[in-house]
Amino acid sequence: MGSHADHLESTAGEHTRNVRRKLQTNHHKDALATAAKEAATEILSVIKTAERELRQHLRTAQTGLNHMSHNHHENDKVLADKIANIHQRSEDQVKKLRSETHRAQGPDPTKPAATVTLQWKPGMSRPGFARKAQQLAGLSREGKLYKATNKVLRDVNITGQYKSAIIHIIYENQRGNPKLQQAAIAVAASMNPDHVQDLQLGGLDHWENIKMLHEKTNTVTGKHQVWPAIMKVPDGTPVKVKVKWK
Amino acid sequence: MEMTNSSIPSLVALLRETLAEHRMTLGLYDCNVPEGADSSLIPPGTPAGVADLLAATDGLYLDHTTRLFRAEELTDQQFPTGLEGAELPDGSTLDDTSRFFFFGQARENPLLVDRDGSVWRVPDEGYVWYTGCRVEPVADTVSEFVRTWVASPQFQHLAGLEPSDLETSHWYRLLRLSGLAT
Repeated sequence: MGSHADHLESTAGEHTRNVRRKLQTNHHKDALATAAKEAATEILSVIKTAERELRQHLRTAQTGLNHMSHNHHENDKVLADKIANIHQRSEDQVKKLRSETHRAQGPDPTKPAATVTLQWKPGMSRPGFARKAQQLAGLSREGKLYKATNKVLRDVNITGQYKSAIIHIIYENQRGNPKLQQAAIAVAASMNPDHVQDLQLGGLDHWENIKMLHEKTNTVTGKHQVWPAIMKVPDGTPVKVKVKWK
Repeated sequence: MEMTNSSIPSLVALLRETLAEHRMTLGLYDCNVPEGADSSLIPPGTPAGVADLLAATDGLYLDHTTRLFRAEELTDQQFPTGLEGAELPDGSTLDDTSRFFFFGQARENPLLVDRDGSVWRVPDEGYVWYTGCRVEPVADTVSEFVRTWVASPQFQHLAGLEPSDLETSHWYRLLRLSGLAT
């Protein structure tokens, strides 16, 4: 049961941790524990579905087609505006980065690599950390990570609108179940849209590079582990990621 | 419109009650006004103004990029390294980052309390703030900050809202419903 709750924490925050505490407290009361486990699973399923739907809409917007047709969000102007906004701002950010030629555009192989060590810390989601660490380690092996040029470009409206759109979809999808609707919105609000390849590691400020992540896992890895390790190295320095699992 | 004579607890209570009344019917799900924090959760060293605010409301969720932190997350949110080299209003460089306490974020950039109790912010200028930023004072105290930037029309400038965003910002709609903005 504990490992199951760990798994659930991969994308959620405090609410799911509360459920886990209840599971641990009530593990001998099967009916209660089962009910709590099922509720947490259902909440995370609602959030994952909403993010999947949002990304489908964004992919459609990317093709230039009418992104709100042929689905149950048709005529949802609020969502349509958010999707158009997220996509346009993402495209604008990439164009801006590419047009600013003084900025490093990739790793400079003539520079010695810097090493970032990622380590799980108490309060982080174990599966969330595992996902984040594996993604960065994979990008490191592919030679894609490098120290971006300061000041690193960012449009906070992209992540803000991304999260807002997910919560909007949850709200609309769960109108018939207000209890689940409110619980899922609360959990989603406690999470962060995370740049999978961190911006300071050369990641693009584009929705394709964003996924929801447990908040503390996002904050600690990005600010407390990645940034201090690279903040003083030259722009374009290749970055290798080492993961300490214990 | 600013409620200069209101105490923070009564202002928070007004916002909480108004939100409870309209949240479900209007779908105001992008903001939240929690109950006050248990004093045992407030970390030692928290500035008095922040501790007083936490006693009234355990953080404030204003939108998806602008919020005041909950008591239990304050310790993790301290990140003085990110302020190294920050530019001060007189053009000099910040040399003592420990003077600032991180208590929230506006457009994902820090909201800070200085040792003298004044509130500062890192304005959003289109960059990841800790890769290079400046700091500027915005209020003399935390309570003044809440009255003038959070619970007033000035919120639009804190959260970087365009005029067209005022109709869709859930917090701004809450301010209107509470009689704190027009």
